[in-house]
Amino acid sequence: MKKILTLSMLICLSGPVFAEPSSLVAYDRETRALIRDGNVDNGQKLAKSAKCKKCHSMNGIAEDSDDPNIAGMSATYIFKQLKDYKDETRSEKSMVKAVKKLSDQDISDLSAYYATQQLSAAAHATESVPVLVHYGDRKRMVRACNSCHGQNGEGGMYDMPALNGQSKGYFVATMEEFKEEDRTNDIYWRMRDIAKELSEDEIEELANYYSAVDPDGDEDDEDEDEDDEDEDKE
Amino acid sequence: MHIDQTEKKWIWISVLMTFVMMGVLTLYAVGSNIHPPSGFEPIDSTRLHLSEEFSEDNLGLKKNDDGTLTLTMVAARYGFYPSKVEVPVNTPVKIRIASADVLHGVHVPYTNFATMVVPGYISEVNTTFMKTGDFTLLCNEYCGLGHDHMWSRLKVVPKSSS
Repeated sequence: MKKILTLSMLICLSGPVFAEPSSLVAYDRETRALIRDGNVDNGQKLAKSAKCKKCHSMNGIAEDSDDPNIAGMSATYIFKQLKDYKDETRSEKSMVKAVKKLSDQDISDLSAYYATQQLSAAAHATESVPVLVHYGDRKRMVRACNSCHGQNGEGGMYDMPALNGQSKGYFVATMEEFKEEDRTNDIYWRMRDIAKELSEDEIEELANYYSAVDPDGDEDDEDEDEDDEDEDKE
Repeated sequence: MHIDQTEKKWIWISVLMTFVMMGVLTLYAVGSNIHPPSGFEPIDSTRLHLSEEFSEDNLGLKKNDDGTLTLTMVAARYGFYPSKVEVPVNTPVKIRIASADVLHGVHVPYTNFATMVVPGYISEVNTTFMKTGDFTLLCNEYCGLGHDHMWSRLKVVPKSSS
């Protein structure tokens, strides 16, 4: 017992305790190589067997507006999000559970597969472009959306996701999560700082601009059939 | 290929000028013992957020044991983090800043704080802000498409309120 107490004290006194980083993913040489070598075919198999397709479909376009469209997102972005779920630095329960048993190679393969799917077509629901998209708001230190997410919302480097064609419900919910600090895996508060400055109307306006057309109109029958088969098996 | 005589002369003059300038620079460098700076501090930029000094909870203004102030910041596409910082006026501040991705330059107009932020190295500047008010940190090295939106806020406050 004494030994345990002494050891615990030593651990406590051994140095300053730092809070958990917002993400454990670093795009160092090894990680970049792992992502680059992702196997698309294996990723496709995993997308079926790991049940990714139940929410995200095989083509990466979600059928429910609350689920994200992940088609055509960069492999680096998808990889980071899946790793964050695995490390529990992003805490959506269903996703944490879904990726628990996946290896880093599996995650890389899945990222490679969904990155090859067609990015949701540009489908701006509104014609007018919100001022924040191109100009931001210097007074509030809100950077323009397109400075990180691409001139046409097609996504930027590494962990900057595409916004174009995103599900509206997911877009709004994600911005609210950043605003309320329910989601904190944006390294160095990059999105939290911005979301906190935005009003609900501004978030709605941006969601309308970037969101895809309601997917109910063009469901993929094949995917639907495969989903039904999966549910029957369960 | 025909080259006009005058054109030839100017080609020779420009080549000669290049060598003369290189010679002058070499003479100055050797004569004044100018060399690349020593004592630089390397850091792995790709793992910056996982390092102790540049982890999120260690950024910002901190009082050292000897009473001096250190402001620790990160430059990353596209902003300086923390994106809003407060420092006291007329007080020496040591600013340590590192890049999480590419080459940046940090510049605060109307103050004497400006430095390059080279990925892989920590930049350190000792300065004193002489006037209170809101200042903007700007990037002055082109770092990508969002470069012109790379800004953050520096608030210089009276000593008593810091």
